[in-house]
Amino acid sequence: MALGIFARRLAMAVALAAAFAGPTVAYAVVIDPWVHDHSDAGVPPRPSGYTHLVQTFGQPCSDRANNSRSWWPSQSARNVAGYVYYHPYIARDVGYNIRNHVAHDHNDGAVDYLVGAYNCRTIRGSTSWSVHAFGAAIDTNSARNPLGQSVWNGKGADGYDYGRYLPNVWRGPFPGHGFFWGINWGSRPDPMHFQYVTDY
Amino acid sequence: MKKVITFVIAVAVGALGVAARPGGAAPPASAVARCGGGGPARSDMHSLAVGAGFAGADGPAISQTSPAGTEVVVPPDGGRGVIRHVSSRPGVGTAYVRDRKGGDMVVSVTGRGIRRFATRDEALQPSLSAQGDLVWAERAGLRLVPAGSRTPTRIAGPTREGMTFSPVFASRRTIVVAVAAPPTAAVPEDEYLSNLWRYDLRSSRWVRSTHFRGGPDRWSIVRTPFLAPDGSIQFVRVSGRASIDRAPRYELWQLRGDIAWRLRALPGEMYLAGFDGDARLWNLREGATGGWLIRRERADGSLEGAGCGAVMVDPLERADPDVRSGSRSSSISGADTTTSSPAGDAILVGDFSSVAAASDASATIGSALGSTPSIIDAKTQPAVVRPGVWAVLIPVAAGVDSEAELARFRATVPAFAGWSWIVSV
Repeated sequence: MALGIFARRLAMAVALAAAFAGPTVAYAVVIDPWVHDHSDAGVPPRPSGYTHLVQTFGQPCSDRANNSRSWWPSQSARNVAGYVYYHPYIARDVGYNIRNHVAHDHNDGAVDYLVGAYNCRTIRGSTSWSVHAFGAAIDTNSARNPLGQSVWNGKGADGYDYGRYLPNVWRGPFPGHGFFWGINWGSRPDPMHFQYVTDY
Repeated sequence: MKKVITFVIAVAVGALGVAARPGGAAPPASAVARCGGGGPARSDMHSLAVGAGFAGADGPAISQTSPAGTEVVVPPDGGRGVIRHVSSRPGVGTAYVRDRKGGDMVVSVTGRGIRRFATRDEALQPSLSAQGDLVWAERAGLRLVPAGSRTPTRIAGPTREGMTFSPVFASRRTIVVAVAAPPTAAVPEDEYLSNLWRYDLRSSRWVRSTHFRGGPDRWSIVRTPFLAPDGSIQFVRVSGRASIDRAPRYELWQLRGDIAWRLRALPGEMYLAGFDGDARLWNLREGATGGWLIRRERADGSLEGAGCGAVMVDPLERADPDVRSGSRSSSISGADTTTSSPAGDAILVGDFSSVAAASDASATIGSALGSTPSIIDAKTQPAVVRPGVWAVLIPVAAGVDSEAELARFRATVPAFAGWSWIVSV
């Protein structure tokens, strides 16, 4: 009798746990083989200035600029995942280190739309090419972090506030990350923007 | 889906190289010799004050070209920051922007002397009228300083969130201005659409002059409008697709009144730099150095060297103070480093809607390359494959250039050229 009650309570507890854990488990990504060694192995130096940018990534809008990809949650809309395309020079950094870092932390919910990298465009009102045209920059959580906003809104697609979790992953301090954060541009802060070049 | 190989770029570069090859009258020796901001600099500002010839930003100096040759002139404002957007008006003077972190300084040098105007925001493309009025763009509007006045007047732009740039006097009462559409959810930064507008100083009315359309993917922008000798406005229109790896299209257009028409396609990236008499001047990038060359268009359409410097284009050889990293830059170096890594680059081919399709592709690729690729899905490689599809993975050996391997793969198995990427797994 006591065993029957215990069994029923256990079954109920399991059912409840499954009901709550189900969406989380379904959302999580299995990345068993991934080991974050925080090394700089395979991560090339970050260029500085236009000349070094072109020497490293090639001409803007070129065939090379979108030759790599990875799969990101909330890429095109909230909870709608999609591919993000970028230059192979940052393939290890974006597709291996950073993407897996977020998944490994079970923080896919911190990512919110739009997430994008390669875009053949110029900077507004300028003859200079956007870093996105080289495939050397990523925008993340764009809708909550528009151009000109001087603070980071850390609310993710799941509604929780992750603070500066994502910026801290993108910009390091791990050697295998090291993106420059656009929020640091004093007169034109761009909190959604992370680029693998400085002084441009 | 993608990978429209940029044959266009090669053709454009080749065409420019041919066109720029000296075939007619050679430019003055000093016109080319002093590019790069080198050589002795002159502090005499007389030629700037009369708007002699044409001028461009060249490193820390202004490179001024006149029939006497090219001379490097020390900017007379004596300030710190990057010189850009140098505008010459023959018989009137020269204006330019001293670009600084945050607000800038607009400087005009005319027969009335040197005038400096500190701006609260980014100042763009100052321009002088025939009478000496000065205008520049700032955020969504304009600042106008009538000749003889020392106080800028604010002119609100035609759209609330649009960005104004490249104002130019079409007459004393009319200013033609480029206006970029505000960011959208789909295009949160950078530019996808701009058009020319006309502002009437007497009626204070804005009228849209061009009606180009653009969207999140297919974009259309206007650049470097100049007053042509015949009184029309000529400008460059650039159009492209954001998602495609293909060089955009460049075209020369003309605007008279509110009617615009295309004059011709351009061979590659080039921007108007003004007029030297009746001859168009062009700014072309000097390879990957970030320098800008000035080319004069001959009657047959070919180009000849005319000088150097960034006229209304943005200089690239010096970092914009607003995006300079400074002390707040993130650092690559850090602790907690190790040297070994379990990761490696691979060529991914996909996506395939079934295991069978992936297996067929794997067999084709395997026989072409003489190797045995593996088949992956989101369960095994969730960072690079979306759920519900399969892909073929070809490892790239350690120490081998993965981009070169991708090029070799695409040449060997062209059927999958548009479906192959480098991934790190």
